[in-house]
Amino acid sequence: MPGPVVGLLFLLLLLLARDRFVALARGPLQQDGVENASRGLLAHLSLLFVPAGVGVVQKLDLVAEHGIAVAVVLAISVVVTLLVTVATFLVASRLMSRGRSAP
Amino acid sequence: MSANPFSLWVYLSQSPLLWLTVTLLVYATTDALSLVTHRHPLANPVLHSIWIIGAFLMLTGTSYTTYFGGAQFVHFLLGPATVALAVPLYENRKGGSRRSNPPARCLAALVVGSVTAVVSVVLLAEAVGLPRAVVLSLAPKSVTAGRRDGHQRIVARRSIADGGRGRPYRHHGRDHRHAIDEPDRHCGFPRARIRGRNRGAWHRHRSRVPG
Repeated sequence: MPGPVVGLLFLLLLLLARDRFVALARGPLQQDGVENASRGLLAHLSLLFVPAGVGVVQKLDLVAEHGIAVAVVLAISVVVTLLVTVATFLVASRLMSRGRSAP
Repeated sequence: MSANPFSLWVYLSQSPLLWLTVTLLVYATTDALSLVTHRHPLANPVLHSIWIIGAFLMLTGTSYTTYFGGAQFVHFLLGPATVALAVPLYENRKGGSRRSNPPARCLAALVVGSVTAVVSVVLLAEAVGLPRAVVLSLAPKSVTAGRRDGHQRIVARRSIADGGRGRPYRHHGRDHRHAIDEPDRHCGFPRARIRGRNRGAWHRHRSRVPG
């Protein structure tokens, strides 16, 4: 498991623990300290992908050769994925509301 | 300043701070443009930052390694930003317990969406006959896309839930929802429309649920 994902879980657990145990609500864990810092970071999340994205200049030959095929594959895959995700969401919603209304 | 502008350039190009500055300036500019166009998908700041910086590197004959020497400070923040995603998760935890457990269907949509993303892109890429290395590099990209789809569901729900709770993200000046699904580098897909449709589904769903 990648480090940042472990960190995500730890932070989530810590925030949940803070709500349960008052003793933990200190330092940045009080008065939305962690929350505000995280929001600031996430508001500019897209900036953080720029350096990696610029790496494409190293692979321009590959882009010239396969760029169109890759773009088409990505476009179709995104459409398929979105449709399947939405369909799953709607089907699951329907199943759950049915399960609730007919107990 | 220096008598010879070239010597100034030689001096600046030795410092990683130049590339950090270039990255931030270009992003600030493209992001401002994106705001002006009301976040039009074609004005995606990441997309335009990448080609502008890329062109700048090629024009100045700078290697990507040199550029990354400065840009790594931005790249490094990806890790902390991933950890920071715990906060939206944490703030969403309560929305789940009321009204037919939305996270369960978010989870279902997320899992199915991720699997679909990987399988579809790999199958398509192989069908088109892309080289193995390219196919492999496409596969994990779609994992993040799937995660983003899941986020959209969560975020769409939260934007409604927040309306009632009075704790919108909007007070940070930037639309937080935009930040969440921004990692989308294949950019500008009809996100808004899907989100809108989904939101409609949620409303329809809510109106159907008794009580």
